[in-house]
Parts: sequence; structure tokens; C-alpha cells
Amino acid sequence: MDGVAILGWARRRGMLTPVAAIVLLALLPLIPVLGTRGNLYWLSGALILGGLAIGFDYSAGYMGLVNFGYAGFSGSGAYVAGLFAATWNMSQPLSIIAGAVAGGIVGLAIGLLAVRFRGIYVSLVAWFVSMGLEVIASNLNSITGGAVGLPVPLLGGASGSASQYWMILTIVGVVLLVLRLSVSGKTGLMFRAIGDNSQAARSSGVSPMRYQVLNVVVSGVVAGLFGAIYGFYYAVVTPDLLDVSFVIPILIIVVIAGSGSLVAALLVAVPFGVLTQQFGNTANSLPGLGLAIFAALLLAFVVWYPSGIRGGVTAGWKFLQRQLESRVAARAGGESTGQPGFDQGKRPGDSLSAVAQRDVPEPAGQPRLKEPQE
Amino acid sequence: MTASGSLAAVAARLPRQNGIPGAAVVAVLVIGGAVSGAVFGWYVVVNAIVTGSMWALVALSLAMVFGVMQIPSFAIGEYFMAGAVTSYFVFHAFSRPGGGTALGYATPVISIAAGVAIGSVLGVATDLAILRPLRTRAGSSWILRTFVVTIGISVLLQNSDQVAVGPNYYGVSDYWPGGVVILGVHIDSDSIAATVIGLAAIAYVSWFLKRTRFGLRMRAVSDDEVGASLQGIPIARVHLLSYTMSCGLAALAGGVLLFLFPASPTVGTEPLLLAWIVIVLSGLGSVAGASICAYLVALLNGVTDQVFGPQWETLVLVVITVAALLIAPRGLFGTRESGLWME
Repeated sequence: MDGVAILGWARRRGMLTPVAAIVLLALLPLIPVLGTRGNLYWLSGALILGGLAIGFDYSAGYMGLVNFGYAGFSGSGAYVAGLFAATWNMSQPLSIIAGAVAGGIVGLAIGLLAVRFRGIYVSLVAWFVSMGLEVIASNLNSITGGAVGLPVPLLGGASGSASQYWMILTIVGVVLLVLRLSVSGKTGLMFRAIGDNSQAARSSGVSPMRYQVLNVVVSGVVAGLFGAIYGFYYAVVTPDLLDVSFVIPILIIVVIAGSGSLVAALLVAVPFGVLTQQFGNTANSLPGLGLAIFAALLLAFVVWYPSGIRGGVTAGWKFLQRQLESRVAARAGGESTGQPGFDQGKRPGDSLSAVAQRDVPEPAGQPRLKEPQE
Repeated sequence: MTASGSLAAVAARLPRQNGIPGAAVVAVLVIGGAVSGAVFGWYVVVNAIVTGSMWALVALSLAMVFGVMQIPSFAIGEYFMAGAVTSYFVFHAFSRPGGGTALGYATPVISIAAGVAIGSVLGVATDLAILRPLRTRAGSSWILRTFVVTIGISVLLQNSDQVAVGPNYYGVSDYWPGGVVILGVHIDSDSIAATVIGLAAIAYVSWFLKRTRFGLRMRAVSDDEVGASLQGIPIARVHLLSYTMSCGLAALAGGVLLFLFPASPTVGTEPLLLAWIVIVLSGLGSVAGASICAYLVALLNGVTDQVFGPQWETLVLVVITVAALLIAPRGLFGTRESGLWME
């Protein structure tokens, strides 16, 4: 395959924006201000948050499932990985894989429960399960260390280095690309069809159950993976990782970013993560102020601009594209009639805007989060 | 117990759903109460009645926004918190050493009323500033977006409270001094007051929904919003009223329960979970059903406390609730085929 063919394939599968985002993030440590040890520490933490946000968006943006029990997935991953590494002395990569598997298993359990319900009850059941897991984790003192938490080895033995940042980014990038690939084809279409209207999808011959379970399991694996990394990064796994309050920042990120692209969630998570961590550090006299501000932002976005920052960027990009096209058309004058150029521009996958258009089937300003209707 | 007589009367008129007669649930509740009272001591039952009355209020608060406005609210607990915080500060400002005077007995009433007022005002503000603009835009994604919005409201109010009054616990040891001894159990005045206020509020909500014009409108909107609006019912006003009432009920519970649950930014977490569990267990559409399930949940918590210890309360509740959701997805007393339930 030559370069042009690969580029064309990447465009068609919606891979260009994620690759661009990963390259952008990879360059961050090279900026002198951000490359210091302290800033790299914040950045890596924010990246892990971004990975968690990607897994959340996989359900929220494509299936319309706002998973209020997401902490149940990530927390299980963190605990299982922590137990593997700290109690049974397994290597860290192996423990992280075990954490991802644990997240997937919890996801499977929730998914199988959830297919019996719909709408908000899926979130409720997931929430209940995560609450139950939190109780177990905080009270099995001999195994989990109880409320104090389980001390685990530090991720890669150190923190705050550029190589660690790039290592985390590699994992986030691979997950992002794999998930984007999985939703760019038929599966993504099925997710959206079921998320938009489960009844209509079923009457068109789609089995919602299989796709619902698949979606939740994948989301669970991603959550478990990054939950495990999160635990190692902060060198301790506490029951807070299973608490609803752990989901709140992720939810805020995905809503502000605009759900349904995974890339936007990652790109917003990084500045958000850095800001909240800094807030936690500097605003000690006023704890809660940072979250209050972000909650107000969340409200503003949900009410007034549900397509989020991503919707704004897409709309701006489309506007530019239209301006450019009309300029070109005006300059070409009458010559262009009969030429294939116009049609080519509209064919899906032939331009960046088409990639963006496929992401946003509705007109700008319409909500991405969908509730299945009667 | 005095409550069991009235419960039995209510049970006779309960709707039957999922093949489980309402009376059977009440029988389970009464027998369970009697057995656990005999085994663990009657204070377990007394506690269940006190907290159950309050969980009933919180559950009704949730049912009101969920049933009428189709908002799966996660902000109930924050109005509970607002009521508790307000009641504490008003009580603290008025209370003087040497209670027992007329003012001493009236102060708690003023404090709780102030809590309800602040909770209701917050409710009006929320509806006008956030829910009404959202309503004109949301369309088919209403439920999901209100779900996210109420989470946002919850985080905003929780953290605003933390910024305003700090993360401390503000509690009162006694609203009213003294108590009585029944069946060898010392019952303090606050518990009696909480039970009376709770039962009165449940009765009021029930009467309001059945006998007043506003209640009729609410039920009409809850049944069929389009049909109700075609009949000339002002939907926006009904929504404002239900949201305000819902917040007022939650704040009432928060104010009354201040002697058991000291006010703190996260005090609303447990009432929120319990409200959801009660509503999932009972289903939407019956005030009496929700109240009975609230007492059931409170009793279950008390028994769990005795058998396993208080830290396992949530786990036991959650396991039972998920199981109940699988067996009777519409709830024990759900009268309505809600579009939110199963396909």
C-alpha cells in the first residue's frame, strides 16, 4: 500500500483527527514551560484522566448511556491490578492487563443486567453496583486495606518524567485509535442506531442486546485499564476510586468537550486535568471552588450548547470550508460545470470535513446525547 | 405500633401489581417490624419509623420530579442539604440557653420552616434558570440531559456550600428537650416530632395530589403531557410547582433530620441513594406505596445494622434493589407503564 492509499483509508475510517491529536499531545513535553518535572507530573495525570474520559465517551457518545457507575469499572481495575502487583508481586504490565480484564468483567456483568432495562435505569443499575463494590472495598480491610487504601508500587518506578508521559500517551493513543477504528465502521453505526432509537434499530433487524453488551464491555476494559494505571500513578488505591465523585470530573469533561468523537474528550481532559490538579493545590483555602466553577460550565453547556466545544469547532470548520468552496467556485466561474470535482467533494471520506460531517449527522446545535424514545 | 393500624387501612386500597398484593408487602413490613423489634430491641423499630418517615419524604420528592417532569434527579440530596444547613443556622441564631420557654419550643419550627423556604426558593431558581430554558431546547433528549443537568446542579450546590460554610458538620443535639418511654424504650421528642411531621407531610402530599386542582393538573401532566396541554393546562406552571414542592419536601426532611444527620456538603448523598432505592422498589404512581417502601428500607437498614454492622447497609440495600428490579421491574406498587422501564 502506498502513502496515498493509506491516507485515503485513514480519512475514510476517521483516523486523521485522532492521529493529529496524539501528535499534538506528544509534542507537549518539548515545550520548555511544560517540560519541567512538576508540569509533566500534572500532564501525565491529566492524560490518564483523558483515557478514562475516552472509555466513558464510548458509551455516552455512541450509545447514549451516561454511565453513572463508571467508577465501578475503573475502581475494580485499579483494585485488581493493585492486588496483583502489591499482594502477589506480579509485574506492573501484567497487573495492568489484569485490571483491564477485571474492568471488562464488571462491564460484562453490568451489560448483561443492563440489557433488561433501558434509559436511565442502566445508569441506575451501574450506580448501584459501583456503590456495592465501594462498600466491599472499604470494609474488606485485610485484603483491600479498607478506607486507608492499598499501597501499590509507583508506575514505572518513578513519576514526572518525559518518558513516562510518552509511555502513558502511547497507551492512550493505541486505545484511542482502536476505539475510533471500532466505531468508524458498521459497529459504530449500530451503536448509534441503537442509541438513537432502540425500537427502530430492532425493527430494522439489529439485535440491540449484543451491541449493548459489547459497548459496555469495551468501555469497562478501557476503564479498568486506565483505572489500573491511575492507581499505580498515584501509588495508592482507595475506595474513592469506586465512588460516584470519581465519575463527576469525567462526566464534566465529556459534556464540555462534546460527546461522540473520543478525540475531543481526550483533548479537553488534558487542560481540565491540569487545571483541577492545580486548583487542588493552590486553592486550599477554598476547596470546592474549582468544581463549582466546572459544574456551572457543565450546566451552561448542557443547556445552551450541548454539542460542546467539539460542536463549535466542527461548525467553525464547516463555515471555513463553505467560504473556501464558494471562493473557489467563484474563481472557477462557469468552467467547473460538468467536472467531477463538485461531486468528489461531497463523497464521504474524501475530505476532512466529510469526516467531521459523519461525526455529526444532525445540524449543529442538536444534542449528541440521545435518549431512546418510545 | 400506632403506624401499623393506619398502614393496614391504606394497604386495603393499594393497587395490585406484578401479582403482589400491596397488603402482602404491608404484612411483611409489620411482621418484619415485630420480629426485629422482639429480637433486636424495639428501638430498631422506632428508628425505622423515624427515618422511614423522612425517607418517604425524600422519595416523594424524587417521585414528584421523576413522575411529573420526567427528570431523573440526582440533585434531591442537595436540597436536603440546603434545608439542613439553613435550619442549623437559623436554629443556632435563635436558640438561647434555658429552652423550654415558648420561644424555645417554637425555634425548631421556625428553623425547619426557614429550611423549607430556602429549599423551595432554590427549587424555583433552578427551574426558572436551568430547567425551563433546557425544556425549550431538549426535545427528545430531555431525560438524558436533565440527568446530566441534575448531576451538575448537585456538584454546583455541594461545592458552593463547601465554599460558603466549609466542610464542617453542623448538627444539633436536640430540637426539643425531653422524651417519653413506650414499651421500655426511651423515645426522644425529636423522633416523635419527626414521625408526626413526616406522616403529616405524606398525608398532605397524598391529599394534594388527589383532591386539589393543582394536584389533578400534576397527575394529568404526569400521565400525558401533550394531552394535558391540549386541555389548557399550563405545563410550565405545573412543572414549576412540582419542582418547588419536590425541593421543599427534600429540604423539610433535611431540616427535620438535623438531629440525626448533621449538615455537611455531602449530607445529601445517603438520602439521594435511599430515595432512588425506594422509588425503584415501589415504582412510580403511588404515594402510599412509596411511603411503605420507605419504611421497609428503613427497617432493612436497621436490621442490617444489627446483623452485619452499619457499614454494610448500602451493600445489602443495593443487592436487594437490583434483585427486585430484575424480578419486578415496575416496582411493587408501580401503577403506570412508564416508558422508562423495560421494553
